[in-house]
Amino acid sequence: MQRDSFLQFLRKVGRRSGRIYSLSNTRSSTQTTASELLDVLFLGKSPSDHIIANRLEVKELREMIEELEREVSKLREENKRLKIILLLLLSFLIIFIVVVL
Amino acid sequence: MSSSLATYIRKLENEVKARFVGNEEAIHVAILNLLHHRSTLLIRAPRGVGKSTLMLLLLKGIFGDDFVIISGASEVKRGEVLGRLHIPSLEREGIEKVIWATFVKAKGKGLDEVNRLNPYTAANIYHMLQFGEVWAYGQRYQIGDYTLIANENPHDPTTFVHPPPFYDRFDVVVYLRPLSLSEKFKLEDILEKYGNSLVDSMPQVLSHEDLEEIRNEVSQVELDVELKGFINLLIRDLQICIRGKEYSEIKPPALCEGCHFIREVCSLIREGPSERATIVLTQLAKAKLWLEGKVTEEDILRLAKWVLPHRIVLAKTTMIFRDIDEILRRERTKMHERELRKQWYLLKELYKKFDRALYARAAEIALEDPVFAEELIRLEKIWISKGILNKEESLMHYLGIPEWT
Repeated sequence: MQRDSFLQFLRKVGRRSGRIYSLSNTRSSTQTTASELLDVLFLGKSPSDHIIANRLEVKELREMIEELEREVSKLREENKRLKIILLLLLSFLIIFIVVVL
Repeated sequence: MSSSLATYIRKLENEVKARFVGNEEAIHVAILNLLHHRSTLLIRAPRGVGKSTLMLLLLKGIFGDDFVIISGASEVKRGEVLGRLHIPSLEREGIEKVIWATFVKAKGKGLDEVNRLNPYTAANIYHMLQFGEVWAYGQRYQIGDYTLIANENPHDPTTFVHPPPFYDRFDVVVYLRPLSLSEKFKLEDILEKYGNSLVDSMPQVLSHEDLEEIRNEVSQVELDVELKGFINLLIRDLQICIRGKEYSEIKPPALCEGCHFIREVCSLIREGPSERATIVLTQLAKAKLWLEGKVTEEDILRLAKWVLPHRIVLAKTTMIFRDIDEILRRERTKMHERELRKQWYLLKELYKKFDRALYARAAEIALEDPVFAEELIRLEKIWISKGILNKEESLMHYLGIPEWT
């Protein structure tokens, strides 16, 4: 076979690349690479796109996702607090207006 | 690898370096180049930089005094280079018997000032370098293994202009640079040490038989398939042209106007290297692996610096080494980008079966890499013939590549 050694080359190089994942088939985006997740988030890649990732990249991504999730829950807490404060301020303002007027 | 044989080679390199100041990388490449069968080396340098000295040091280190040198001159005779007729046989028996020249029979051959050789002699040597045989008076002589070291001053005004294929037959061309101030002092010290006779003091470090054994071992060294891929990719990057520059009357940069890949390395190259560049780089990589126990992709890029300059015609040359260095720097980046894109894995998957989403991704990548595009187009042709893909939606159609390519 003329192209055998070429296919051998593709296989050897490919082994480093990992596996193919389809974004639409993954329940969690932890199966995407960090860089490609950023692509999805910021460059508008469609979820039907395929990505190729290896274990190391998936591990790296998991850590990144966990970090992002921590950030998001922190922001949610913050958001909740701000909402309560805003609500209180608004109530005070309404009471003030009613009492004064 | 036999360690005693490797010791010989290291000793040869040390003995040469002990007598030849500077140009360490050039000497190392010249030594590596000796480790394959029918090795040919061309040393280029301006007048008085030591090209003949280096040639003699290398020949003496391997062959002692058993080598033959032809001085390049327009008047050099056919009999001196190839062979002459045995007159008594012709006169008495009417038989054309050829007495082959010692240059042809010698295992160690030197060509001084190769650019001064007349075209007839150059043509015979060209044939010898190509096929390992010579012809004279309708008779053939099979040469077998040999080592040929030549030198020339490319700015010599008496030069014959030999055709590019002649130079392509030289595995490696090393360019020597003049000595720096401190190196001049070193040369004086060396001349004093060896009593002004650098070449005479050079010992024979190994025999031709040892060298043959080494060459046999080196030829059996197996390179990793990834490294082979790296060499093939590097050379293909320098050859490829989606507009077929090899058959076009218009050459880059004019040919590249409006081409999608105008920013690629291919647009800098008027004539790419021949397949010999791949063969020689592979031989050098094997030699390095044999001698040093390892060879990396970075080594391949460094070795390419000595394999490419005499095999490439650039669209615009300012200083060939600097231009080649720049091309190799860009290649280094390109290889890294390929790794990040994981494109060869995609291609492997597409070889298994057609998948539209994967193909779309591959086509996107192909627009950044003409070599990848070329391989994808090969697959497209198969898919089109099977009716899996429409011609109009193919990359080949988008890039305007004719079907015969």
